[in-house]
Amino acid sequence: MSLEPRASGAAELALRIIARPGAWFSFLVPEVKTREVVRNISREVETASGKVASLIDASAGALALIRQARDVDGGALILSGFERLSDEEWRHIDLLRSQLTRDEPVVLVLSMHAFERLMRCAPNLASTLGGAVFGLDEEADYFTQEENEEQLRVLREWSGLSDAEMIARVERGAIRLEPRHAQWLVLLGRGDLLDRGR
Amino acid sequence: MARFDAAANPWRAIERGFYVERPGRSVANEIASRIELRPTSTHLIVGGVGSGKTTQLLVARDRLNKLEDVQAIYLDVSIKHDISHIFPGLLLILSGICLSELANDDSSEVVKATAQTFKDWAKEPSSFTQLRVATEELARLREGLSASRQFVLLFDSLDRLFDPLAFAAVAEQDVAAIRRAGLGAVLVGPQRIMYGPDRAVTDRFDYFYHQPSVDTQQDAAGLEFLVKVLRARAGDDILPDECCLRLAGLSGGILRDLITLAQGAGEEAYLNGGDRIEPEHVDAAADTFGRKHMIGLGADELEVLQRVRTKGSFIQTSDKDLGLLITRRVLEYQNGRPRYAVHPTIQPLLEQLAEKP
Repeated sequence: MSLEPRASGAAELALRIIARPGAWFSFLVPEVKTREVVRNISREVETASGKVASLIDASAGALALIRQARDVDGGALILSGFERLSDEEWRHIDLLRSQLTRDEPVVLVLSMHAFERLMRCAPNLASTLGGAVFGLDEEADYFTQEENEEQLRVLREWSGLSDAEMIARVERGAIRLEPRHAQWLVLLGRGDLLDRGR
Repeated sequence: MARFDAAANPWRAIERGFYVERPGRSVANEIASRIELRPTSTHLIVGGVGSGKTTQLLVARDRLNKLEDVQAIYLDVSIKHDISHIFPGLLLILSGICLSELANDDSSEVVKATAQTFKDWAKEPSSFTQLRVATEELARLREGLSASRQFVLLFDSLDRLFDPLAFAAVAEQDVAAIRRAGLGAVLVGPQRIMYGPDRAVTDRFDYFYHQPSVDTQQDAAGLEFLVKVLRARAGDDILPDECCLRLAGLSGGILRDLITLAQGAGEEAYLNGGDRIEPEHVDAAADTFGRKHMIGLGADELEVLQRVRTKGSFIQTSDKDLGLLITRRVLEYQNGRPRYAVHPTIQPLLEQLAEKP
């Protein structure tokens, strides 16, 4: 049997992030893919949420990480660059975890090796992460056009509304957003409207 | 889904009415009652990661602030100071800074001057040399602010200290000095001090509290409490009773894990286009959670976990064993006598691993 973490593509991860504002996520990727994955996730999250995601390189250690995170106003925070951190640096991040607490999502993109260190040296951070730890599914990086269209068809059928009617209702504040509405907006690239119905 | 945000500040959960009192007497209630009788007493809380210690501190603060002539101040030490450089005197300085913030234009010149001294020490800790002087300054500040009001400081985040000796040094010197200055103190300490020679540090406090995990197997009232915690956040239209009970069992009695698992189950429901959490969503969330806990385990640690799973026996003999407790792969219950179990979310994974030829 495999004990690997569940696999997810960047697009699915973006949906999970939208579903849990304020939660923490870890995305385990081969080190050589980190830069590309960070780019993909930030693009997906920005499209889905309508907010700019901020990227932070954590390689300079705990204090630099905290300083940079403090300067970020809103939107998701995507952290990478953990691969060379020593046990000591991880412990330091663990000690200062409270300073990373925020209302918007935090995503750690790191290698399995770095995550093993996190689990060993940063139990408080590991606890904050909860269970949201996913491996990279390279096959499922994006929803295909057909998959998008099929999901939209199901949602239109469920509500009895067209895309334009649903957007108009959200803009008028005439609808209380349920998860399916949120998913619908994300699929239409109108994540900017998510805050209106929450 | 924000109602299940386990990473959010606990005070927000309290503010939103999500706090549920533990069965029996909560640590917060015990602390508040004892401080009412002995305002300058000192208290130490120890418990596992995610067991709700911060929540208890915040609830204790709120209860104390309802008392006449008591002012309780909560302080996350890790926000105020880089606690990788903790030194004896730090809590004394931070106490002075907290009290200084209560000074205003009408305060006496003595109070203003003393407040400035603490601000200078905070800015330049190397200028701080004598604990005795700081203790006298703190007493002066307290008296200057109010002759009748009792001040109590609740220090959070010191449980994260990796080195129990660093905590012991602070406990030994600062806590005694804060009491001498006429203030009460409540600290959260590292779980490590419970095991081994460092346990003697608990004697430095007037009162010691262990905040254990809720034993979901042998404590029916505890299980009911966990269900109530979930019910405070979601009705049965979103989270049916069956799923509530299942989540409570899978949490292993750890409050943060309970909320995290519920949040994960909600996320699974959302991704499947549903508005209601079903048992399969709970199982998917538990599987993801358990897999995370299996990452990075060596053969020796797996062997210990299998022994705990099959025999319930756990003897902490190494740092790695202690690591299994601190990372909550092994759970310790104090319901009568100590009982050990593996975290329920890793149990099926360990079973499958054992069956593997």
